[in-house]
Amino acid sequence: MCLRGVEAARDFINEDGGILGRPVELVIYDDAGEVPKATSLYERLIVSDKVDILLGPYATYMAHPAYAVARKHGKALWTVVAPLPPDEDPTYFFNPGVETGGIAGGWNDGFHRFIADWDKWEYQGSAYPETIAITFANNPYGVEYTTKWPDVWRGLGIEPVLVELYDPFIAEFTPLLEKVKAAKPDLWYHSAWFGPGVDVQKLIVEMNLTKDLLFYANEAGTYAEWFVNPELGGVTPEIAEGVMTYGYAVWSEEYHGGYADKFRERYKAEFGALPSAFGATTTFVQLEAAARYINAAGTLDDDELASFVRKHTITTVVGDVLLAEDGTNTKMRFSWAQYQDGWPKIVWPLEIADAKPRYTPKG
Amino acid sequence: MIPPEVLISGILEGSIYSLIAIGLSQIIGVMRIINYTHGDLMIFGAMISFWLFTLFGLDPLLSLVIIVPLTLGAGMFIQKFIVGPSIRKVELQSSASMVITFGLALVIMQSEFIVWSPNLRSIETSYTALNFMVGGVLVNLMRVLALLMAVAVAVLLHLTLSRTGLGRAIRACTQDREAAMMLGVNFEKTAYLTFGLSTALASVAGLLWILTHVLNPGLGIAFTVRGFIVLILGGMGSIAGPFIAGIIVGLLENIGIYVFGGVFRDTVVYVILFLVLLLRPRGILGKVEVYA
Repeated sequence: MCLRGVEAARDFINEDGGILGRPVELVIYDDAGEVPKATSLYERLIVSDKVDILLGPYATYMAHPAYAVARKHGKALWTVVAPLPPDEDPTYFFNPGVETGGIAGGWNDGFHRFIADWDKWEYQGSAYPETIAITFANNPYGVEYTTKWPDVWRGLGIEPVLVELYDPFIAEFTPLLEKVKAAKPDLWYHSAWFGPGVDVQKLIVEMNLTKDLLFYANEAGTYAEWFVNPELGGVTPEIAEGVMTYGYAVWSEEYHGGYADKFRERYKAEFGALPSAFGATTTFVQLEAAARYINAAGTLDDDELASFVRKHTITTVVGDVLLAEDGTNTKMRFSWAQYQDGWPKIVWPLEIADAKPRYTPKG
Repeated sequence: MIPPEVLISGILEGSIYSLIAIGLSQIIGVMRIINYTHGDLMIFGAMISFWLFTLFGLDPLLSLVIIVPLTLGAGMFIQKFIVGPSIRKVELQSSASMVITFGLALVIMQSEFIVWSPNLRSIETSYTALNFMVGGVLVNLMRVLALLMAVAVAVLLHLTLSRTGLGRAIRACTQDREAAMMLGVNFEKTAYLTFGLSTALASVAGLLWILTHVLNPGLGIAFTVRGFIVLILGGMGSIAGPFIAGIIVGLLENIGIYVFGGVFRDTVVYVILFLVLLLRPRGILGKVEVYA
């Protein structure tokens, strides 16, 4: 997914004349998901390969150490991961796909914003939700959300009746789901990537758990091209039906910023699906943002770019980009999607929604 | 009050752990080696079944006809040509076997990553999502089938060990290798047949897991460790010991998640393991030391 995204960005940029008039060539290495390997590869990219633009590796735990290498050499790292810790110097950390001020990057924050817009939808008289269950994998990302999110929900008048971390490895999810069932929430947010998301989704349907939920979100759904593809280990479209998940603006047919139209069309033509929010879109926007900013600034000098990206706004597949001091995107807002008829449709925000949210009426 | 669904899922999960541990116990018993490849070979069997289903539409239960002989052969090959020769002349065979099988496990895991990618796989058949109600409790058909299959395989293994020549040879080597050899048992042959049998058991466990959960090649070592925990709890020298211990571990994990939260799943299991090691080091039904 990551490779598909960055290759698509390269092709579109080159069709438009490249970066500063030169075509983009990709130098790609496999870091095997190992930090020591990634840091030595970044050293190699800077010192030996002398690349002009550094794109970040997949996932926060890899990108932060890679940034330490880049910063040491005064090189910028274009990435899409959780923000740096507050004591890190973010001068060269360009993070266009992540929200300024969001919890752990803000990926899940769209769910409470979507619910906050309750009155804007016609819910056929259904009562405003009173309770929510929140379940996250036990990692720093999950810990930050389970610590900070409950108060956000209370601020909306919704009481978290279950806030639980789970062990994502070879877990049998029946006990967790039984706890959710016993808590009887109106809403349920389940954060799970890959296997735990699929496992839980199947169990939810098996246990008929969604019948009493107004809305149910499963973060695994953000990998759309995989989530509804049983051959890749995902679930059938029937099992995915109704699941809510975050996405980027590019998922909406109503959004046309940056290369959104071309990216969507190419992805659908080649893979029969939307580009995943995390994976294809994140690698795409790293290179798209780098190209647009460098062409606008007319320089590859990372010191000049460090100032430029914090003063100028560009438009990309994820929306407008104007970086904050910490490198996150002040203009960024994650969209919210729901699987309807086999595909994720953007249902929030209203301006780019291409479907109305479907829900289970209470009582 | 713990919902019955939690207990039922614990029993199912535990029965698969049981099969993993029973396979491990045969190898430790006969050859006195610690086999770290067990979980990765379990994944291998599961992934072959996944392929047979997705590429050729072969029902996963029917695919046992292919994966059992295939993994039996793979296990025999590993023992005959890799593990056996590499430790034959070494004085500390158990220690050497740990290093050899650990390295081999890494090779198998990385090869599986290349072939099947890190994507998590599961098998969805027309019957895997079928449910029925028993006394107000929702039960999944596939999970019940998996439990029954695990019991059937354990019974079949018991019959093999108690009523066949191979079984007698395995039991003889487990009790006293030298004496067995003096009485004419071909140890080398028994060793690679045992490794093959153990690998075939692992592949059945893998099939049952992929039918009821999801799997990827990175999870092999986690299953190997679970197998060792179950084996230590259950004790060596019988099939009933690891089988009962597997069910106990599955139940403890599920109850632990429900009562204390998901992050305490392993804690509950390790506390019980610690207590068993303190109070009954041979395990619940152990007849001989686990590590002779």
